[in-house]
Amino acid sequence: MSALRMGGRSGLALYALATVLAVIWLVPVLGAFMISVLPLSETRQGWWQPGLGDLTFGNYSRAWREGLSSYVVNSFVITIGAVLLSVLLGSLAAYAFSRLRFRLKGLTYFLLITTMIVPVQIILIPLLPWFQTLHLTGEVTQYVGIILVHVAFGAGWAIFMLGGFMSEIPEDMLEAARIDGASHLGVFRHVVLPLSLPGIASFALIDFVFVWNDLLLALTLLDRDHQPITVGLANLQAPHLAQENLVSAGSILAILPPLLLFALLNRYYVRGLFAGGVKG
Amino acid sequence: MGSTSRARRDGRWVPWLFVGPMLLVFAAFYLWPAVQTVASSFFEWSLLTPWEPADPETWEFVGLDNYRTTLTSGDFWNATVNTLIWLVALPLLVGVFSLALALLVWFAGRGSSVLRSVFVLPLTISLAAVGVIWTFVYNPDPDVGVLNAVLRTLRLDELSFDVGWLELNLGAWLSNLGHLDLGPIQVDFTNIALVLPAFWAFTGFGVITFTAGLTAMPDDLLEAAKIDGAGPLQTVRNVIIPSLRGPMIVVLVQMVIFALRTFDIVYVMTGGGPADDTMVLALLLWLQAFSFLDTPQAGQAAAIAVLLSATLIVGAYPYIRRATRSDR
Amino acid sequence: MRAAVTRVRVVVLGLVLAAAGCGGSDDGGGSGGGEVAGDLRVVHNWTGPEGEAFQSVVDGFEEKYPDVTVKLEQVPFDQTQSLLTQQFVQGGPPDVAVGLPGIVRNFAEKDLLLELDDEWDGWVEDGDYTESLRDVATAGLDHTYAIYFKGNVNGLIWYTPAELDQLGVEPPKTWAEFTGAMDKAQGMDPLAIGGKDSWPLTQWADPLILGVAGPEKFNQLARGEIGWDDPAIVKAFETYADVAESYFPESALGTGFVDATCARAQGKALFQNQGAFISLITPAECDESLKPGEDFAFFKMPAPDAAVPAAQAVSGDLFFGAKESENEAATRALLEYLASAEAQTIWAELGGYIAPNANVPADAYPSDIDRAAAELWPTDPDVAAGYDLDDWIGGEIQAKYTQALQQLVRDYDVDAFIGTMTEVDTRSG
Repeated sequence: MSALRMGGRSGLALYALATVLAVIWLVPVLGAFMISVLPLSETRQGWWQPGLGDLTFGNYSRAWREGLSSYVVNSFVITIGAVLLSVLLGSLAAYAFSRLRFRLKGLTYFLLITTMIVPVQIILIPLLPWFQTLHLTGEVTQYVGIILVHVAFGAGWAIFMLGGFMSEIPEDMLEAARIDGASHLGVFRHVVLPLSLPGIASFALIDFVFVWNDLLLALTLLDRDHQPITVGLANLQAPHLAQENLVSAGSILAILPPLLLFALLNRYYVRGLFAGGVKG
Repeated sequence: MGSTSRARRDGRWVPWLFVGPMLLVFAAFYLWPAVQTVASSFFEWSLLTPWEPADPETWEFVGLDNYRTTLTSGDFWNATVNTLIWLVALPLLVGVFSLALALLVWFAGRGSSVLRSVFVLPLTISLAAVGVIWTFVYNPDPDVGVLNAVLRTLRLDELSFDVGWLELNLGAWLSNLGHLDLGPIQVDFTNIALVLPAFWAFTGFGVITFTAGLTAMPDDLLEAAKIDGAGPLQTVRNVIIPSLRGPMIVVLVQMVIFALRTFDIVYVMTGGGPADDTMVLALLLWLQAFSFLDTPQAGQAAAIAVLLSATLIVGAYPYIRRATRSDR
Repeated sequence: MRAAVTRVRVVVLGLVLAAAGCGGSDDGGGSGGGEVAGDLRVVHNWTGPEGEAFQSVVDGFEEKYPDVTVKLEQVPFDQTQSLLTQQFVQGGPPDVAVGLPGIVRNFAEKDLLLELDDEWDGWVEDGDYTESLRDVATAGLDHTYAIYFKGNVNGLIWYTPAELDQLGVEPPKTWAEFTGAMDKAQGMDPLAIGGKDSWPLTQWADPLILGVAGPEKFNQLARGEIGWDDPAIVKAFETYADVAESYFPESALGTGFVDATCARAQGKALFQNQGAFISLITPAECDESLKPGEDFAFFKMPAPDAAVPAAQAVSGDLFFGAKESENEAATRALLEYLASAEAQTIWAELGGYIAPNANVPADAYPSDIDRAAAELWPTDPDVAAGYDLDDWIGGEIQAKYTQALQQLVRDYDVDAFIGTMTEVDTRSG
């Protein structure tokens, strides 16, 4: 595997080049961060100038007071709700698709998988009247509505990824449990689920990032009291105010939770995407 | 599979217990709305005078008019051209650059997981935030925007020319970057300035996917190349890149899918402007359905959504079939 | 005929003004005090200092009607229409919401709003409002569904007095003096624009149309009675293109509104053409130490054609009530309150605001700048009001219009601009 890795000078040169690129890659985020912690007067002289002092978190507290706090809470409610439900329904369905046979399996699988491809716009337009018909417009039910849409739209990825992990479980282990008299649900709960935990973690992480980062659905479906941070950010960016210091603080707050999860659970994240890469 | 006989014995309904809940949610919040979108594209309606499937009084049937209006409107074709720019530029940039990066990190050997993490990091950032962050990068004031500060240092900030078919104003990233005239198609460079943030965000996906491909590559392939006396460049060209065809398809297909639905970055950074230089189909249909309420245009928006989805399903069908087959 | 009507009204207005003193607030209107109770949900779109000012106004209402609890919901300015639409479609509209004439028209045409004809009759009679302001709130419909809460005058040229002194220029009174001053600008841009946010470009169109084509053509264009290819309108946009070509900076479309405002405040540009709200925004967003009147001031943009009748470009915010409101009494009470001199005086005292209600006393304004801006508010029958063209029209035409202006600022191609607008706005055809 490492047969072709370079040692010596050329390896060092490649490493240096990669490092330079990596630093450049960080510049946009670094810039947003610097703008968010510098006083306005100093950002207007260039955040990259050496010798800037006076770091301040005032922008964060101001952004927080201007309503970002409620956006963040909404983001967590929506994201956690959608991820939990996706994992629950997705792993059940993935088990059936990867280990059981049933009529219409091919057709239903195909339909679910189309969610990976078809743009969300295909459901967006009639969704508002449809939500009213279903009474998904109340204080709590608004959350329920968008969570269910996220679950439906994540169905393809859920059964694709989770099914991939579940199909790797050796058949012997399932058969052994069945011989012990376990029902399908028993096999699922006591064998498949525990063995798929790393896969579920990968999927949950990727789904978290996906739902947390949604703008379009939230922008279209939710009222001001239920909007997540992505919409909050777009709101802050709105033409009438567009205050750089607030917007930058907001953008850093918006990227922080997925970033922290990514930093903590990096290998699950990468493994999840790996699976997609090898499979396709 | 071995479970087949067992499943039959338990009765046919058991698998449906597992699949049922997800199918129910899917049917109510995806399939039915999608069917409604398709159906409503044959009616004239707006959000303030909604078309309702259960209420024939709201049916203002117009046949294929919405499609005819759409396909003959300048707005639609302008947005189509801009979407095509995304469709070409994004997969190309991400495909080529992330392959190069994956190889670079791979060959560099040391520090590879840290380096890879840096390139993957933007993938976790919401595109709304990506748009905001890059608005700072593109700020035209060289005392505020880092890109123009670099241009000023390189003395390229005044680079601006216009020879008719090609106009370029370096530094005016989001306002007047210039254009390339290709006869019937005009490529507004501001679109490229919007593709770059998406490229920055998605390169990590390519790096991971290609690295997965490299990891899965059989060692003996490389050993054989080494024994044959092939140099590193030859090995990359003749052995490694051909063996990464699978991951390359994954990356390209994903980027095509994303490019066609692109919305967030455009919405946050330019709102389709200046003028309508960066209007894309996803934003156009959103505006028609949710913003232009003085005339009923939701049916036309639905028509665009149907056209977009049909294109993607047809275009990406082989990819779906493959994914389906690999899972049986 | 309207002029005559207004003239009579001005006399009435004078009498009422004398009697107003502490605000004509105690006429409870048609709602009756007793049943005004319960909860109200109100949608508005002000943030920062403006949001706080509006909160103070609403606090005044809750003091007056202790049985009513008002819940404020702040939405982003440019999402006001889509978020309100969403709430109307979902059957849960706010009781009261802010809007522009274009928005009011869209909702009123679908029979979603409370009619306020009786209330307006009273206000016009009491001299609170003129017939022409009622006209704005009526938005071209047969009935009036909105109240006028926040006024604004546009076509104000903001500058730094010290900079003009340095150039040896008096605040210009004629078009020639105005362009002459811009010709003298050195080491700075003549103008700060903020065209990345597109709406600042429309701020240039209104005073130029009023000052070239005149107020009559302006209002005909707004109401779709003449087309964009009317020679007077074409001439106005030729002037626009000239100004853009000669004086707009290269970064006109790359810089947003706040950046442009601050760039002017920092001496990077000589003038900025904007509304009265700049007096509130400059200290809040650029530099807290800047004092209106001393560090920055305004003069009214001179009309390019001195022969056209005097006119004032105005804009501002309306409020309307939802027909579906479950608490109509309180909804009407709040709308009446917001239209009253009593309520508007509260914000007037905080600054950055022009009360559309004529009975708000001039000494309510905290600074000379605010008072000077308020004096431009068209209560004088000889000065016609031209309400913000694109806010009046709204919808798709408004969106296409701002796009077309961006294109005009880039290529100065008036023919193409007129062609686009003729295609987009088919109301007169």
